[in-house]
Amino acid sequence: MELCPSIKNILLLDSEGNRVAVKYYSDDWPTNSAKEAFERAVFTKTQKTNARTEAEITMFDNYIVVYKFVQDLHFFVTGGENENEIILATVLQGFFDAVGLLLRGNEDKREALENLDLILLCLDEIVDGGIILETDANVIAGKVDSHSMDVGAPLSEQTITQALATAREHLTRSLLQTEYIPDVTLMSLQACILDAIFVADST
Amino acid sequence: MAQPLVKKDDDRDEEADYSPFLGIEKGAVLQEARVFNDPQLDPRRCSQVITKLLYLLNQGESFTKVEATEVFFSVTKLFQSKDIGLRRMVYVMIKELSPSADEVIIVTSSLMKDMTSKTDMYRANAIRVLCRITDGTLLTQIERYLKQAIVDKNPVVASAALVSGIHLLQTNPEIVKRWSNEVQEAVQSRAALVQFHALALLHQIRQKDRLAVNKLVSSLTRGSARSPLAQCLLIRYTSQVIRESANNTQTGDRPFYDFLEGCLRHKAEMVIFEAARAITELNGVTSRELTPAITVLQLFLSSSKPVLRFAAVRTLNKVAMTHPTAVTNCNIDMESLISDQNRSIATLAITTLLKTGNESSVDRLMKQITNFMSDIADEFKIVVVEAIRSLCLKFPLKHRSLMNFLSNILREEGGFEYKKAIVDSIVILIRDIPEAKETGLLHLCEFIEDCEFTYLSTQILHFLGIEGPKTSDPSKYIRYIYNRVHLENATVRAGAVSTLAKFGAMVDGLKPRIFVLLRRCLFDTDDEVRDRATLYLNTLGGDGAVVETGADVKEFLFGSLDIPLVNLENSLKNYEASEKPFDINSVPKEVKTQPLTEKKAPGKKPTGLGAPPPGPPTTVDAYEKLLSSIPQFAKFGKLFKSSAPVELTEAETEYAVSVVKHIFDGHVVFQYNCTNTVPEQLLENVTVIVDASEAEEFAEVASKPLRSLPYDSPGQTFVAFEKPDGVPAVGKFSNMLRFIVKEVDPSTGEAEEDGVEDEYQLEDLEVVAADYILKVGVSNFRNAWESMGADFERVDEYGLGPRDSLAEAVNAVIDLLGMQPCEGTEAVPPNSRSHTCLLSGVYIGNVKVLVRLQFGLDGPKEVAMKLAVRSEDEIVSDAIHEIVASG
Repeated sequence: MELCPSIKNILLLDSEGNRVAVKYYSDDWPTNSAKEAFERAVFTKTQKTNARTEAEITMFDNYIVVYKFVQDLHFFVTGGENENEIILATVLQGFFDAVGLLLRGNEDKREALENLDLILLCLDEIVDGGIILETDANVIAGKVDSHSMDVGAPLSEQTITQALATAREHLTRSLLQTEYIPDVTLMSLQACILDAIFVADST
Repeated sequence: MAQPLVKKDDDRDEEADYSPFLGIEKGAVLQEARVFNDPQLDPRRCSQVITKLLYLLNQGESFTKVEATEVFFSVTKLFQSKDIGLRRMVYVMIKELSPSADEVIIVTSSLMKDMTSKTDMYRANAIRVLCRITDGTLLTQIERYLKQAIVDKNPVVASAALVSGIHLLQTNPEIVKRWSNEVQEAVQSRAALVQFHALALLHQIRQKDRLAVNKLVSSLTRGSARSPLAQCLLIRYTSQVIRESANNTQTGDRPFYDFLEGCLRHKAEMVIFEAARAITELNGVTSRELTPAITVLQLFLSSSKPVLRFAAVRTLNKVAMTHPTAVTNCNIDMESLISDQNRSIATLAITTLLKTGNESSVDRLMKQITNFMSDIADEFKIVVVEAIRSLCLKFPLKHRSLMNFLSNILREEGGFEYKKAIVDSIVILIRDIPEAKETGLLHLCEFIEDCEFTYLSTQILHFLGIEGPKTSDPSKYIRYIYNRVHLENATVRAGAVSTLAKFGAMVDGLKPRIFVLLRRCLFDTDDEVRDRATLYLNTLGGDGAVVETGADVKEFLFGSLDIPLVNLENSLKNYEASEKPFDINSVPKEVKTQPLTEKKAPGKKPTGLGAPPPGPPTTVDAYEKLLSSIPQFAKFGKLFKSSAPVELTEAETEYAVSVVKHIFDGHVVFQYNCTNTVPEQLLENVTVIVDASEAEEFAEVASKPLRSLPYDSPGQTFVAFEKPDGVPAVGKFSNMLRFIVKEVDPSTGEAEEDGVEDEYQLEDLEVVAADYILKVGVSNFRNAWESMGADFERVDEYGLGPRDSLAEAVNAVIDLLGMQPCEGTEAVPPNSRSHTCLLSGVYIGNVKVLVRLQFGLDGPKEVAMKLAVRSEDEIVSDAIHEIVASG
């Protein structure tokens, strides 16, 4: 008999129910389509509720789902029907707060996708194969961030070429986002390059 | 807009649609992954590519074997980089790729190096990755490091090793079990989660050894576990120990109860709740034990956190099933939850209230629910409807207000499942509460006036056809039914025609009017409707003369089909159109599949419209049909009762046999349901040899062998006995399965020519007094008791000897008599010293029997019982006493 508290999955969806990052720890959903069906069901069942101040909870198909929303991000943690609801809620809160810390308060889908590596590492640090590893958001974020710092740190070692590569990325991004107005593009291009050089200089 | 992504209607900033993974494509990313092979690694770029790969996997994209291998090999190159962030991504990537055994070798040495590194982050992660992908042989090589890691001073490393140990225990238990000294040490760790993981692993290592678990629990419950999670775990282990020791220690206080109760004062909510839940789930929990747990749960009910409210109300809901009185204290808090924002909580609160409510609070509750129903989803409404149905069965006197409620919600908007639940409930109430019949039928009539679901309309019409003619004024239903003929689709119209015909056949007074209506249907646009009308007009004698419809006509038109539909379907498919008409008698009647072995649980509720209506439980109809189709048994008369199937074999033996006892006035038929679970065998000529030497009043008169019993396709064989007419003879029968076994070639599925005769010993079977009593409930026991009168009342007192509990004694007597408990009196409130149980039934020979049982505790465990029986026949009253006296 399995007595250890176990987590069936952790989901991070956007405000339309699309995946941002998901992690399944149970074989209850063997195929991707089964997973997607579950996510759709969870999303439609919860989207009209207000889970922004306090975590909410629901039960269906013999699963307990606790969830919390912020901006356009929907966080879910699923457990079996006999699981202690409060343990699930603790895991959810840990995940939720850790993501908040890692995204430095800008919790929205765009920021989450841009820092997807952090989110994935975060999931990896919370639960391992269904067993809860850590629920303290500060500890989780600390573990994830200790090397995102390291990713940041080599900025000083970045050469101008790399800085320019960063600038190019920013540029393509703004190109994708804005209507194509040459002047603006030109200006943002300049701004980007200036930014990049500034960053390279200051470090 | 440069991107073709979904456009939003609102004026949200376009940035919201931007994704760094826009237009990402697997092939391109796999190309990008070549940077992993660069001699000069760019950690940042590599991290990005890995993120992209993980993104693809996360979105459900899958890599082919070749792609995965290629990615895996190039990822392994990244171990050259010293960048910590990149290394973390590499770990995650390797876990996601779950490489095959021969690939694992490539990374083993790199991971082993990380495992002994000075960086804690490397050590912890390398352990988790390595343990995830490793196999047994490799494990022995790294075992030494893992044991060290378990007691590592860094909690992250220790936890990583312990959690990996928990996973590995599933695949390599013998290795992990060798670590128990280190794990034991880790249990004492000061780090909260290390203790939790160590406790989980230690328990799993020792779970087979009950004594060790016992020791573990008692030593830990004395101290205090450090983290709430570890404490929760300890509570679970403790309740397991309590459960397992319950059978041994009958005396004194429950061991460890004090520990559980102490946990109710823990500072962490998860621990408080875990302890409260554990207490409510204790076997045979007393109300004194329950009280503190209920009190903390009650506090949770008014918490600002939905999760706490949900957890508490869900637990209380479960408690209410067994200890309704213990939960009544929470009723006020519970009522305020009816308006809870979270509909799951509100629904659980409602159903709990419906369980704990008493007769006087029903009306007030219904008022509250009515407001609540309008704003919850259908699935919750169904739960509420079901709760109301059982409430109505519990308090039949309240049927009026409850039935009204059901008919009101039936008129409101709702989906099919919801409407079906309501209709099913009304049907069940009509069946079980005679007083509710006429109003219920009218509610249904009104419903089909405006029903968008063909299925429900036809089912209700069918039901009306059966119940309507038996009411005091059948004519008032005709209008509703005939309206269907005008206003509905062809399926419903055809159903309505059949129902009309049934009224015509059953109620002679209505015949002329029905004929008029049926004749109008002859001009219907749909041929099925016209055909039915023609058929009914001709068979019922619609040529003007009002004649009494013959029994055989009724049987032909409305009797149940005595052929399995599957067989009929097959025969019709095989029938080739020719001069020779289809002969229904050529259809085999032998039931191929086995629809009859469905469990007929005692006191089973009829399942609504799906099942054919009235009379005692539906399977009896099916059994009756089956038995009457066997010529040897046809002359036995009317089937009185069929027992639930009794297993005569252990589970998972070669042949599974269960028996159903069919009781007739002067005969008993044993129906042996046999299943052959050996694929390589075909059994033929299967019979059961019954030795009735311990059943003197029975004499074997007939048997029906089963010609062949292929693998996994159940079949039946029968043996019939004669017994004195109307006498509840009892006896014990020993059974032997005899058959010819033939080997089957598994590849071709063909059996060999020659078989060998063989026998298989089955367990004994008893015919007991309860087999002669039908479970038939009465809705108002007091009325029934009074109207039966005291003419044939027999009262006596019995000592039942020592019993575990009052409830056990009550159940024992109910089982012995095989009668229907009334008004929910079979449930014994916990800790009561006395209890009254009301039973009703029909004794063989169609004699109604009512029983009032008064139980009392006499001394610590001695149970005494006063048995009062009233029936229509003094012999029967005496017989009941005899059953109890000899049981």
